[in-house]
Amino acid sequence: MAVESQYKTLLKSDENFQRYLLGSFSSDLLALPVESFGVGTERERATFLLIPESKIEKPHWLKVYWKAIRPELLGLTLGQAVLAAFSLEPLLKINGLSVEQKSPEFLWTSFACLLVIFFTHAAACLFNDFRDHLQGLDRKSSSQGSRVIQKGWSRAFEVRRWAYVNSALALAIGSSLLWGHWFLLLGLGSLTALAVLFYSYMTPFWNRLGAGDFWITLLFGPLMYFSIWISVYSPGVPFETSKILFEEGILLSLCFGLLASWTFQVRQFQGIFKRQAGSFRTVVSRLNFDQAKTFISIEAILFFALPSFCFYWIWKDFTGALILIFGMVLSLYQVWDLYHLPSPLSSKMPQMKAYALRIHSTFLGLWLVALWLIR
Amino acid sequence: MLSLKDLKIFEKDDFPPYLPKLNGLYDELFSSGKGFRSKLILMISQHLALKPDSIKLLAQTIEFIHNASLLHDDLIDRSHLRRSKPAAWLKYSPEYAVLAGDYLLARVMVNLSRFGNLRLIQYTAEMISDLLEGEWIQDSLVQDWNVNLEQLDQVHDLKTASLFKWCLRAPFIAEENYDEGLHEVLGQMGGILGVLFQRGDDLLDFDIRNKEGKAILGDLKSGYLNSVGAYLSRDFSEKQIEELTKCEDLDQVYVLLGGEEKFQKQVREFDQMNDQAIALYEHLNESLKDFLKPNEVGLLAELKPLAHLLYYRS
Repeated sequence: MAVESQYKTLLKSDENFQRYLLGSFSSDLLALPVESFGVGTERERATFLLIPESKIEKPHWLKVYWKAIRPELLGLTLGQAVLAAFSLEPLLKINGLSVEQKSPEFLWTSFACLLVIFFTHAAACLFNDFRDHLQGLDRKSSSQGSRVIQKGWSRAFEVRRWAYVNSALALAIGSSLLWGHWFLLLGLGSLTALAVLFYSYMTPFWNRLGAGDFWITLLFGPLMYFSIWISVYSPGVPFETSKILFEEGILLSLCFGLLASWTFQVRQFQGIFKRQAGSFRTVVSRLNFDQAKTFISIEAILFFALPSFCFYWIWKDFTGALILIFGMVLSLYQVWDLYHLPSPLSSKMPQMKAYALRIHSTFLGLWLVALWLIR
Repeated sequence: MLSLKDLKIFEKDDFPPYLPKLNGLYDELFSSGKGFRSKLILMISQHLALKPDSIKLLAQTIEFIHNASLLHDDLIDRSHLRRSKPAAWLKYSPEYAVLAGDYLLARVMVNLSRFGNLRLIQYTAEMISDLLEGEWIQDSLVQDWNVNLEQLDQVHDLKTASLFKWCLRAPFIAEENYDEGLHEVLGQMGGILGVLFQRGDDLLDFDIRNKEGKAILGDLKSGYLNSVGAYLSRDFSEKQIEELTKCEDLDQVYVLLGGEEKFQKQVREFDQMNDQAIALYEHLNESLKDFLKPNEVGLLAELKPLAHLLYYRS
């Protein structure tokens, strides 16, 4: 028998519409959006499922926060930041620079850098969830976003509040790092902001040319790595020493920028079934299912070989290079599954995103091991 | 007012008399079947200002498209029976089955273009395109035993729900009512009807409310995990899934799930999940009031029980 309807449909013009979306309309009821019509237009309407908050089994707020900040993506941001900080000393050493050249507050500045990255990542994920919820994007697919709003674990206005808090923390800690090379860091920060804007608002024409891949490589490569390296220097240390790292730094940072770009491509490939024009921001947008599989697989062979080549070229260490080749072999095994996907709705397709992130983390981990061995 | 007995889908003059076996094939095809979709068209159209010829055209269109897909599906799946009779590709030939399906789709385009409503032609073409995409995708999932309910719903939205959406929307388009809000709601309702219809059909495979006497575990034996199978096996290990694929009867399925009682418990949970969808459908049905003219509001009472009917088959 059908249950009693607990649904409510509101028009955008309704005075309570925004409050229902934000979750601030009631202190004991939750409104979980189930359908949206005409999103972004004047005739927008949304249907909500009303549930007493007491009926939702909510985990501890820390667990909700952790889920909301998409920990599976931390490898791309925080993981790379850890690698950047960890690789600085070996880079300095091979260039004949002694460790006294490092900032006396090295530990604090490195830690502060990682905190800035963490809180920026968290803020970005939270804002993304909030925005997608308001635009009805998360309702269309159960694999998009962290789902903490859809599950009733947190109201939308609470997620927005967390996003502001995390942004403020990132800004507060980040500003303390600016006392070093503020001019350079502001420049890099502006370039980062521009890159994010270009990536987010590019037209389909630029998407198809692979401009999205370029921006991701830049953001998760040289921009991130050089920002961190410059941040860990204290005031007064001559910047000329950094110029020595330029060649090796570019190679190392590009290596992981390209891996990050590949990871984004796999994530977008996973959504190929529901592709909407202009929604893809990588070169995958111009390829069909079969072409995309082949392209990503060939890229994998090239990009997975790059870390070991890069390591050997910089440090001339055969052991480290071998460790990274081992990582390549492990990772290609998982790419085999991707290449043999029979359908965009294959049961293995939802796992592709996790595969890509796992491969990325594998290379990060092996790189850290290789660096530790040559210290 | 048009009645069911006036709603003849297939007239003698609809097809050329000189094509051997064609009319015999269509006679058998259209003489069986419940004609639910054409009944839905009739039910909706009678509340709108449509002429009887237009209603007949819409009913014929949906039945032609539906039956064309059945002709092709049976050949693709190598099914031997259709409505308890030998499938057309077996009785006649695979070539005739393909051509007969194609010819029905061609007749649809001829008839609709004579009617002259361009938006209706466009929407019908999009619906046929969705249907074919759904069939293509479904074919790529054969022997994929780990597919989940959400993935299957995406297939069913294309393959099954697209026809129900058309049944709800086409009469309004034929009446030249193109209100975007109305069609969005009708589209969502059609989507829910399609998914519920498919899930109700999938339950028959596990002998739940199987008054039609459908073959048990037919989908499983054909290499296809249907929505109920996907729901029951969602927490299965690889080994359990492999055992499920080898099940020949329901007793073996019960053993895998830990007994018949546990199986029935899971079915009740599945029903509860779908009851939410029925509730949403009924809510959306109520919201149609905002879009209908006063003389059309009687449609709401007729549409309301459909979701429950299609899922529970009673």
